[in-house]
Amino acid sequence: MIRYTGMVRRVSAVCTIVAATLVVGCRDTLLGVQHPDIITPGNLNTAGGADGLRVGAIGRLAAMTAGDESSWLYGGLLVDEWKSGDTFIQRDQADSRSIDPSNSFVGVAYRDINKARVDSYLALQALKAYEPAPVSNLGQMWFVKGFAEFQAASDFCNGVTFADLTGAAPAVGKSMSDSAAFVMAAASFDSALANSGGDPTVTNSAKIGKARVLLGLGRFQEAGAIVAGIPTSFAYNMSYEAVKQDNFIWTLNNSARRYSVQDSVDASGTVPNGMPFVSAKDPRVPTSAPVKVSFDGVTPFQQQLIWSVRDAPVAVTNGIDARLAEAEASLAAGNAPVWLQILNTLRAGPTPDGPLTISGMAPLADPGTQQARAKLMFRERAFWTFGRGQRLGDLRRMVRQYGFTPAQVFPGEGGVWFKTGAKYGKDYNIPVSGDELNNPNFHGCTDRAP
Amino acid sequence: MSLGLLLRSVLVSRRGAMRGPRLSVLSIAIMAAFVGSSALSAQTITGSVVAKGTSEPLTNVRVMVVGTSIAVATSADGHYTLRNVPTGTQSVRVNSIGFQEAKQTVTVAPGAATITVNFVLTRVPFQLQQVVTTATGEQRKVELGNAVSTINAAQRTATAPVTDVASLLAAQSPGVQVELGNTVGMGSQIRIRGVSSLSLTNDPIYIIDGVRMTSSNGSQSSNIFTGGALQSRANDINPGEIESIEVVKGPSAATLYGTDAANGVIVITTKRGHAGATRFNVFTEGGIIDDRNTYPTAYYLQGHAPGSTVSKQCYLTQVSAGTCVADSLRTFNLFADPTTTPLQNGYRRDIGLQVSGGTEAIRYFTSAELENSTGVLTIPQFDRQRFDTLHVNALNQWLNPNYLGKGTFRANLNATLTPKLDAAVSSGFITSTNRLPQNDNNAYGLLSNAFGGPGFETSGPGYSGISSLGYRLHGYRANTPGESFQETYTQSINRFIGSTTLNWRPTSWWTNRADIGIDNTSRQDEALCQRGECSDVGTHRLGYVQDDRATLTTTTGNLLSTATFGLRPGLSSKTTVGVQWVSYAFDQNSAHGENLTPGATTVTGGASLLAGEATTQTKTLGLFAEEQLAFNDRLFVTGGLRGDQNSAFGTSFQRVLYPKVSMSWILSDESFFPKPSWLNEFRLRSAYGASGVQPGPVDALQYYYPSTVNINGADQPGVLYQSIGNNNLRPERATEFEGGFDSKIFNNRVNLELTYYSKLTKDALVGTVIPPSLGTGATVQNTNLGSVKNAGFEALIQTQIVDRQSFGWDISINGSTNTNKLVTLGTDATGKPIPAIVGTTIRDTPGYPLFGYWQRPYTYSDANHDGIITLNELHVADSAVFVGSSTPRYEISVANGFDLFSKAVRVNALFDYKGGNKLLNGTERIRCSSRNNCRGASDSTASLAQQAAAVAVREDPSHSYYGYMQDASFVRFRELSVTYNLPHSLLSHMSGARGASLTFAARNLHVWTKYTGLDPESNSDAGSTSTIPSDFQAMPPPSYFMLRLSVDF
Repeated sequence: MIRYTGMVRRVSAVCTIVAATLVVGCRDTLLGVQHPDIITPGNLNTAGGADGLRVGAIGRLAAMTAGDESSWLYGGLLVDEWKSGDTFIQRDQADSRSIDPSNSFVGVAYRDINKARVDSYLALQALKAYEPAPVSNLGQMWFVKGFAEFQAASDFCNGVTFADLTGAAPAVGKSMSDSAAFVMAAASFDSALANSGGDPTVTNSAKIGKARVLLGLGRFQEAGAIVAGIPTSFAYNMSYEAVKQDNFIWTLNNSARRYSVQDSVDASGTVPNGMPFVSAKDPRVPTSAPVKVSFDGVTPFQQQLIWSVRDAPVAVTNGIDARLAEAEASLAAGNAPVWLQILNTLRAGPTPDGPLTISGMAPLADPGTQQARAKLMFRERAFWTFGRGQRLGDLRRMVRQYGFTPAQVFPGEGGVWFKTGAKYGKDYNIPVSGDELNNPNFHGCTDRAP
Repeated sequence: MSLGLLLRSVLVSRRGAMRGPRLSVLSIAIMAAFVGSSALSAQTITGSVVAKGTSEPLTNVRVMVVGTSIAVATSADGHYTLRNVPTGTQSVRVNSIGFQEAKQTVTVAPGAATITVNFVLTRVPFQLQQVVTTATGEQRKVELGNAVSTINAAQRTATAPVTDVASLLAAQSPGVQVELGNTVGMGSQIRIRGVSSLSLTNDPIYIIDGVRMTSSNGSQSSNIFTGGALQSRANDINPGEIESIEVVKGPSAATLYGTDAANGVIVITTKRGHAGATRFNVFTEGGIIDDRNTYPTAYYLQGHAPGSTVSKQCYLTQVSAGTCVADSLRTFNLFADPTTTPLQNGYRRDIGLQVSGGTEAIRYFTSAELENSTGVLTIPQFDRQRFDTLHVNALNQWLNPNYLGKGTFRANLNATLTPKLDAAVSSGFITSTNRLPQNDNNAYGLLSNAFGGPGFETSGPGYSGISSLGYRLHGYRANTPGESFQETYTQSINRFIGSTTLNWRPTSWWTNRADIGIDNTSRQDEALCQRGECSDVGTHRLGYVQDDRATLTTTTGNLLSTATFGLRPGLSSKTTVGVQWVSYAFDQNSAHGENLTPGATTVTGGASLLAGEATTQTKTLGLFAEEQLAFNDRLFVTGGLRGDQNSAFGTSFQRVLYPKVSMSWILSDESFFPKPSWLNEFRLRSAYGASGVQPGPVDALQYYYPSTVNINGADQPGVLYQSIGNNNLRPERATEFEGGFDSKIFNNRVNLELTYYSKLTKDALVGTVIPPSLGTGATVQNTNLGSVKNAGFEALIQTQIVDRQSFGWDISINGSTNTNKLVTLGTDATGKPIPAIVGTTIRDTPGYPLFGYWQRPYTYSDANHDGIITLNELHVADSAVFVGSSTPRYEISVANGFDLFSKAVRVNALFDYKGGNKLLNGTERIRCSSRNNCRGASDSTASLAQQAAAVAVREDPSHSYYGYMQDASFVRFRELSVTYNLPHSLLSHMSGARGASLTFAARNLHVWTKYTGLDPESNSDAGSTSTIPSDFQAMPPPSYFMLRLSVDF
């Protein structure tokens, strides 16, 4: 027994020493791993790293506009720009205006906006630390941040949340109303202007962004004033690239046929309040029907031809936005002749509108009443801004600022949705994604009012 | 100085610590000992082992000297030789499956001649004394405190419809749930004792011949897409090469396997050669794969608006409301029409040769096997005619879009290098090509279009019957199978699994084992759609090719040292210490070419190109020790501890310790235990232990991703914020208690095993959803927060009802229960409980099962008695309720075996039941909600329940799926086999044949269920790591009918 116990002790000692030697001597070899796919924060503390973050933030802006199924597209599905030719119930919910907040596509759109906002802020911090010149790069990032805040306020319900960017790292923020979000966006655009360094793209884009914020707040005269002097030919484009980052308007409409251009009539008959984007045959929204049916094999298909190629650039801001802000300011000021003149000048052209140049459109006549003028104003806006994420915000403004009822402006109101024969829902905006409920400060939309 | 003395001089040295020079001496000693020496005062015992009554020599019987590490297996003629047996009184014990354990005591005197000890074993129906493979080596089952299921793979493969490792395991072990893939080559899902992890894998790990084997397919680039079906690397292994499989069920038994073993361990031992003449086994197998399922019919209620003559599609609710007048109900089932059905009979062919034999010094086993199988899908007749009309040659890969061709080769060698040193070399090579069809959750796949069409084959209101490419659809929704199957996905594998084990026994009480092994898979995935082919979706018809080349490498190194002592009479000790290192590396390059040149099939032919790279690495280093005390060879107490470090742990978390303790007590051997005549053996056992599951390799890190951004037409390098990381990340830790008994009664005719287990997983990684406002690319952050409990019973009853020469009947019944509960999701930084993780249909809510189905329930009543449920006759609750578990809670399998005609014929029939769970009938849900062709929305003779489900999902703002979450309980006639052992009179005509058998085997003969979907085991995600089943346009299980001829020479 004693002999055995001694042996155990010796054997254990030998084994322990062998094992310990192996483990201690080779720990790095035995446990060290490489993760070449990722970039750690320490790799970015250089001027090159800061510029990489800036470029990344622009990529995020491209995604939150026409580079993903963003609120530009999904919001257009909710209103009358697009209809669902798809098999996915997530898109059917938007088209029938009955969106569940847990709908994963809402999460995509809401995340895209916030990625652009946070990445632009991280780039700002890095640029300040490692590459402060040229200053216009800072202005560019402030613009991206402001545009993200503005788009969220335009498209999502009251109760939107933004990360608190006052600390060392992004932290969860509090819910706010859309009007408060507009104010936040205005401050970002002001910072963009203050850091534009005279760069015309940054300056004009920030001014147009600020003007759209002011329109959202009902401060029409200020909106008109700030964009004065911006050339109508101005455009700040997001560019895309085949396969690597497709133009998603082209992807979802022309290519995949999951989105079809909406019209004022569909299989169920007239779509209440539907804008005749197809049947009007307006040169600003050229369409065609190369095949009969959409992706679902049932819904009649219409494709837009504004961005008819896969890598077509899309304007985030342009001179037409500036002119439309001026026109709306004139309308609000009661100056109908100037209002009409601005609109008709655009129609007469030649007006560069993305890849199109619009000219020779018949002049509009003054409909005579303020409400009719407003309706015409938003009709013009609908055609000039088709597909660029403005229609949902416009319909909401028609209710908030011009006295229309939702039943007078939102598509399908009171009718039946063409696919199932069920009635349209009552959504006037996109709900904040249910994922945001993981923010302890967020408890759902405060209201779904327009 | 002999090597033994040299070693001894090192071991007994007490002067000073063993630093450098001393270690060198030790190294020399160890190396020298490998060369070989003979022990002092040791002798040889030899003998034979035969069966009682027949005197048949018994092969591969384990013979060991009790209390030492000396053990051998008998050769083909039943002989054995034990060398270096210490002097003194020794017990020699013999264990063999199917025979009563035997033990003889001999006195080994110094200098005595070779001692002969012969054994005559008594055959018994069942026995407890099996030897199983544990983390510390081979061990008698009676010494273990935990339940281990053993599957006799060699026997099952020869006589049952086994096509892969998963079908080998199906319905064989209590607590082990297997869901087979329903497409040829598709992976399967295996869950042991429930699901424990919300965010990580719930798959068990695999050990093959002592080293880790990869079971995961590894990641694929997003352009590789089939709609659901994925392969499993576990199914690469040829079941014909496997001798046995042991299923280690939970942390109480898997502790020493370390981090990753919390979901159980499947231990595979491949076949080995036995000393004796060379033996050949030639076999061939062939059969058909037949889809005998009933597919749903599409409905279309044709009518018109009041006052209109224009035909349109009506729905029942519109008929009830008077807004549509029904004219006729049209129906069409394209699966039942010979011109439109995409179903065919698949086939399976298999041929192989196994050769084994050798001498006592060197034994070998080699095997070669070729298999090819074709699935049940094809291009229907009308589509073939279309191709003919277009002068398109329908390629074989389009006509047979589901195919598996596999070759497996194995060479195993066992060598007795010296009386003290054994080596075992295992090497297996697998080469396979698997083609999976475009199907399942795939809008341009087969079933999406087959289930989505209208209720007629030609045109009708709202359905032109013409595709976007201008040809007839014949009842399919948007594209035909011909288009779907022109898009091919092929995975090619070349895989080598090799290991070498050295067993060194310098003394009778000390044994050392070293394993080193590698599992290396070279995987190529190619998706191809040539220009002008495939479905008219997006850019597909411009042509694309995706080519992924991946290498998966798992490397294992084990070092174990075991000392076995008799501490005093009646008390022995076995002490094991060990170290294990496991490394997993995944490295993938991918290339994508799009807009292909006509005729091009490679990336080079693409006008637009993309390249990508993905790398994953994890490493685990574990140290462990185990002490077992055996009291009078009937009470066994074991304690152990393992400590792990892992590369995926957070920087603030360095190591984890997993303890274990277990007890096994053969009570019936105790004198105080009453032993009625009907009781033959009774053993109590219990075990407690812990294990873990490692986090994802970069879950702990804060990081950014590189991204190319096009600005003004030029690509620029950008950086995107991705993950916020978690420095405190640590493994999930599962602790488990299990207890139970084994018993043999009625003259060993009945074997009973009952086990209760309770497993608690703490620090469960909760994929906390990151609020979108934080702007991260990642949507979840894994945090150690949750706690999950699994508990249940497992029972096994085996009985030999009739045991006569002319007729035998045996039954094996195993069953299990599982109660699964998410105890908590933890609290956030402010101490506030983390809310339930809510999905559209699945929720993880504290107090309820993981991955439970939740939905807003409804009630309905046909208030106006018109036979139609409308929206105002339906009341949907305001909030979701728990509907049911998504994984089965109860499982029973019953295997009947009959021996007929003096055992010339053996018949096996296996039935199994799974129940206590729900399954979302996603196929019917989408047929109602957006395909508009389900019965509940169109047919007034549909039940009110069917109508209510349709109204709820189509018209109520809740879009509730409640009506489609259905009872998924079933009883399946899973297997039937008849084996005829050819008589010697016939064998005499086959030159040199020693034996031959002919087996007819069938799988999935019938299912009894209330589930209204295709099959309660339809699951397109069975091959993925997801635990949530997906019966969404998923293929149902087909039936197999096979014939196998096996001849031994």
